[in-house]
Amino acid sequence: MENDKKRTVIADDVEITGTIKCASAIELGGKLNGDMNCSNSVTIGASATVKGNLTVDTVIVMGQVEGNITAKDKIDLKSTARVNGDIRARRLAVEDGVTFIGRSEVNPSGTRPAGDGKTAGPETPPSVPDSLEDANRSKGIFGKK
Amino acid sequence: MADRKKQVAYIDGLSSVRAVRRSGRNADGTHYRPSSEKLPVVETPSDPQPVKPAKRIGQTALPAKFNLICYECGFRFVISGALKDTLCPKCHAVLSARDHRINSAWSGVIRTVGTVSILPGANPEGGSITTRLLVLEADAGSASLTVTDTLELCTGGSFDPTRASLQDVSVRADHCVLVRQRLQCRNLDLHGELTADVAVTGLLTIRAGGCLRGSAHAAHWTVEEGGGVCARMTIAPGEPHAPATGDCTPTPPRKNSSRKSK
Repeated sequence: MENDKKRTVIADDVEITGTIKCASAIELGGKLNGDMNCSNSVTIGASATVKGNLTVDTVIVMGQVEGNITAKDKIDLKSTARVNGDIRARRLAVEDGVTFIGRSEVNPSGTRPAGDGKTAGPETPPSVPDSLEDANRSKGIFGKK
Repeated sequence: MADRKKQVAYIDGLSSVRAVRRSGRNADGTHYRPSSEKLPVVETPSDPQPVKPAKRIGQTALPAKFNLICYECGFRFVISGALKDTLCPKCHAVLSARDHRINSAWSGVIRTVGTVSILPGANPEGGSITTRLLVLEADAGSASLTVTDTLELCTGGSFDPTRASLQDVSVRADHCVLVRQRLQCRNLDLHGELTADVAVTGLLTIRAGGCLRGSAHAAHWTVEEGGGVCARMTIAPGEPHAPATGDCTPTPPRKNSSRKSK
């Protein structure tokens, strides 16, 4: 509970080299050359640049990220977001204008969020062609290219 | 006084009342007297009820608009209201708006600005389909497809992208579609699940309940919360992407008669 109230703000003129580990929410406005592990929500500001991997609970990206993003809950890419890497989360929301190059592994069943009253899902599972199926078997989401 | 001297040329209600008053007698012979009965007093509410604002109409109902492309000359125009047989404003060709449903063996030519549905059990053997809307619930086979608006894919629907000229593609909700070859289109709207390699020159939209598998190249990308993506994505606004296969504008037939140049 206390961690929910705490919030770390990194100004846009700050440059950090290393790994950030935090249990409270972080709002990054500067540069980060390294990884970030946060068990709370992270906001990457419009002027922020991250060169490393993000392992978070929830992330809102408005800046630039060069690395993989792994979120336990949700990844929210705003219109000014530029992501070059793989993303993995339970939920995803993307606005128009996002630049994204990488692989995405989000909500593979395509189920709608709770409260919608409808449970979507394929009536019949698709038959994946051999090329795609083999590609999925051989390498993981963050496997070597 | 002047009224008494004035001779009435016709008898109307006013003149009769005046005559009765002059005579001092009522119609039944009794002397005219003003009625002693008091008129009932209308009780006016002390506090006037507030005027309830009328239910506000948020938006005026506008007729539906249809973007049509003449399958004779390729002229693009818009009509509003009901979609029915119309004339091309340029070449004056009659454009049929008839809807077609194919659910058995078929081979022929369909040209319409309506909707063509290829239903389960259909077996198109060659042929050509030029339509505004195409609903695919079965294999289109070797038929040549020209869709000027939207191709709607459903479970069981398949086609050969190399023999299709498309604009917008959509996948119906709760349906799964597999396209083995590279799919190129202008806009892609996923309400259901699509497994394909797609190249979108416009907007790739993944709705809640939709899912994309495979790979995608798009200029613009939007994902609603609840949408799924298990694909390799390359989203780069502003960068040129591979255009859609062919031009959806139907090639007008050549005419031997020479035309007057303007």
